[in-house]
Amino acid sequence: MSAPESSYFESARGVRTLWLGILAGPLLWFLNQQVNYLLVRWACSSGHVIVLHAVAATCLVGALLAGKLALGNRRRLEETEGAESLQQERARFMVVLGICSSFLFALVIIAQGIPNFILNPCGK
Amino acid sequence: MISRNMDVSGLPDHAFSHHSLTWWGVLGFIVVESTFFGVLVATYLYGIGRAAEWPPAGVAPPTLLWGTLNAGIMVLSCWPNLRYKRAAERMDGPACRRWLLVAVGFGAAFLAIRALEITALDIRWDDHFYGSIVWAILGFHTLHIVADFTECVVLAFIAWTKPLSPHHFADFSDDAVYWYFVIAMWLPLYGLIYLVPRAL
Amino acid sequence: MNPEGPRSAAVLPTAGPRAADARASHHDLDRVWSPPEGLYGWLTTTSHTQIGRRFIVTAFIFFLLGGILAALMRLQLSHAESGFLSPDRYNQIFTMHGVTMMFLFAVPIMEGFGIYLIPLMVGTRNLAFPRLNSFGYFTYLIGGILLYAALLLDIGPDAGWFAYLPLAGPEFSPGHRMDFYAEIITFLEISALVGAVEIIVTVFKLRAPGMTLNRMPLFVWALLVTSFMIVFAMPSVEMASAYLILERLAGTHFFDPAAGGDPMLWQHAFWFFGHPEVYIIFIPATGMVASIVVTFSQRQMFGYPAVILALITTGFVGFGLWVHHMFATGLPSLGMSFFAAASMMIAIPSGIQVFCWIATLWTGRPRLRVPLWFVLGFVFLFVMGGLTGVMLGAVPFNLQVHDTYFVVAHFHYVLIGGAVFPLFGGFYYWFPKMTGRMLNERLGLWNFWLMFIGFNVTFFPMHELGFRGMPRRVYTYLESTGWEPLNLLASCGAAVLAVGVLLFVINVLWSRARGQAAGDNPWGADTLEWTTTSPPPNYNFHFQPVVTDRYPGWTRGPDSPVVVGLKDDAHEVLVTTTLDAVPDHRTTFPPHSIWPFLTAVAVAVIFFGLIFTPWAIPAGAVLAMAMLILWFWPKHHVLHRGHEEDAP
Repeated sequence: MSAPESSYFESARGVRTLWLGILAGPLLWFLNQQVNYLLVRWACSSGHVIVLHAVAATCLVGALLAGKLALGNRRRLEETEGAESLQQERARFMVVLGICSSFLFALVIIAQGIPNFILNPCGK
Repeated sequence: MISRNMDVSGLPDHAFSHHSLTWWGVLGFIVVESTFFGVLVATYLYGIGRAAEWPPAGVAPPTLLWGTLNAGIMVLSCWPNLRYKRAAERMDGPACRRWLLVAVGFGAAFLAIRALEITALDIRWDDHFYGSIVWAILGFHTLHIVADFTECVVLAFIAWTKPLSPHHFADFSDDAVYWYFVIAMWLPLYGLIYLVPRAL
Repeated sequence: MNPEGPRSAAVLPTAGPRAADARASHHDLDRVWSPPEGLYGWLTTTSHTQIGRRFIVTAFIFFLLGGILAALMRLQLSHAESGFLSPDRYNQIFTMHGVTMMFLFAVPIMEGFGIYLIPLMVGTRNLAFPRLNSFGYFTYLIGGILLYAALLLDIGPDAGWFAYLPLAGPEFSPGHRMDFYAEIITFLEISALVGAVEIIVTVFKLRAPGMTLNRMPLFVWALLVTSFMIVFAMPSVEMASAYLILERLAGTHFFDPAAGGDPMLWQHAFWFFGHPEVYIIFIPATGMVASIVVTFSQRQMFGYPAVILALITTGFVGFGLWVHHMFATGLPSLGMSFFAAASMMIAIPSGIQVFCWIATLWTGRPRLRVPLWFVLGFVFLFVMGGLTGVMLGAVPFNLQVHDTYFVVAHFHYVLIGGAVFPLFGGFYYWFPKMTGRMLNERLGLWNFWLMFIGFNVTFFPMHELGFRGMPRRVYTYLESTGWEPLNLLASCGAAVLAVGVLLFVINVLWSRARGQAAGDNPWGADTLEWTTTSPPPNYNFHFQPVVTDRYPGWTRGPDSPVVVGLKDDAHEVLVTTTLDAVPDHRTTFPPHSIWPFLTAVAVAVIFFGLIFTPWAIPAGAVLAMAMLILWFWPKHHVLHRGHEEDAP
């Protein structure tokens, strides 16, 4: 119970990383979609279509980083020894959610980026 | 037999900040109202995106004086607000009574300046889209000032006329959180209404 | 989110309560938590079981009213060039059908189940902010009654439940019909918003000790995600309808292209709410399905984290789809491709959930009772609706069938298949808990099969009608179109569906009085609400439970740990931490009160008055403010230390 690793996931910092792992992926996906949707008119009229790809790439990197954070938390959990406390059990659950959500949304950002290359984004 | 029952009679019967239910309730309504403001901001930006000229030809952006003054006073009021919140959390009755009066004073100042701000507008809500959205944003934010001003007046009245319990202090502390929200909302709105049209 | 370190924990192991003390405390608890008798009690109660039940019953009555409107439409459309309804009346009826089913039935009934079940499922005595809960119910009730009063007086809204501009604007909808729509929608959604905040705070702060995030029942997770969606989606429609009020009342130009406005602004704001709305209805239904599947297969949920991931994913992606309602409005194609991709994406989390349910049933020992029949019907219908949904997500196909009966068929499969069938399953499943009596099984099977067959006969032909070009929202059609036989078939199906629903009503009325006694846990279910009596006492649990695993209904016995030391003679509840549900402090809920009802009336005066004059704002605001001050005014009660809940 008193192992430093178990209290990490009760500390403000530990809890923040757990939530970041879960929520960053979907939030970045949403950001990617909204920003690109706002920019598409301007990008087409000014010819800077590359900006749309840049937004998608940035969000993708962000989602992957969130996944890396969640994986790091998993390693931290595995290093603790002995019986699992209530808090660790809960942290493990949040870590699993975080890993899955980050990589799922990274995939979705890629999937949504593909049409930008194949289709002419500016055609009506 | 020793049962694993939990005896909670020793736990405190009140709490501040994110421990308390009311704090979470206030936070919930802050999120809801932020979303309202978000829709207003999105509407304003949508208008810019569609318009050839923003503001429309022949209309000047609102004069800077009153809006800027209000923004300045609001930023200044963060300090008494912080003192008010801290006084509430250490359950210091006399200090809370004083700071509540200060809060009421600031609320009255916000409202007075807002009245000047609105009368200084040279557009009407039924002139054009631009007029409609500027009035909507100002009106909706004013509604928040009125609501929290009223709450402060009532709390001040209670504080000066009744014996204070820990629950009152928790309410004062949450009231201070709500003031922060009303102030924090004005800064982006101020930027949107006063600065963005000048930068375009 | 906020991490909460344990406070100086005064949690000690103690001996269990003695029997004599227990009897005395029962008596005290009952005295404190019971609402007053009679009409005054009805208006003032803050009990979540009473208010939750009331939400459910009221919403079900609106469901029946909406169903009657649908039946009128099917009568009118059953043969070509029918003169049964005038075009004007038809417009009001199809508008009110949509408004009723979306605003007055689907969201309130799901929130009603949440309000009833969540405090029981998380093991506490009442919903957070009980007076706000009472206020929420009365805004909903008054709003619904005003809308139906308008319909009966021939001033019901008539521009569709989506009220597109410019049709709904002052120029094309003079008179007060659309004023009613704009005012009442703005007013009504207050109820959904306060309900969502109450549910979120209850789930975060009032869970029984030991119920960590990963031990929460799936229904609770579903309602949590739903409530967050409501918090972010409803303000959008509230603001849009507020613009519409201003447009009609004060002559603003939000939607007027001649003065720099844009009718498309309405569509964006409306569908930014309107699409998440579908998931706001669907996600609680999946929570019900999960509860039923686990109970009736008598095994743990297969892939519990995967289901929660699916819920959260659906919650987010639901906000990224709204433009797919606007494919036919001339947006840039890249913009459309984003939304087309997201529209298909939503199939992934839904698919995950369906597979987890099937795996749970497959590996368990399913008992085929009525609630499970409804779930099986749901899976079938929802997969059908989901498939046509993926088809509609493709822009070229969407443009072909835009505004035809294909779309009508699709969303009825999704909404009735995806929400109403699980809901009926939920009725059969939780009715014993709410009333103490079982619904009749044989009548239930008839109910299910008639609804299932009737539904398919009604809506399956509409796919074909859509392909043949029959447009939506028309009050009649020519005989030469050849649409008559399929329309007649659909109308016959609607009659069968109606008989199915009627059987349910009969079943409820009969079983309430004569049904078999249920006992505490008739289905052998796994969640906490089944560990108390049926119906639960006003204080829910004699002692709040201490949870030690994810399936307390299966693992708890008479010696399982409970919370002791809460006052029996006050509305005292235990507040726990957000993530790990560690006891944090005790808090006292406010007693019953008349002010929430009067505040709801005052707010109703504002919105109703605004239909006629802008002066309703200052007049009503003063009235509402006075009510609120009285509501929150600290009083010193004999029984309760006089803390009043105080939210802005």
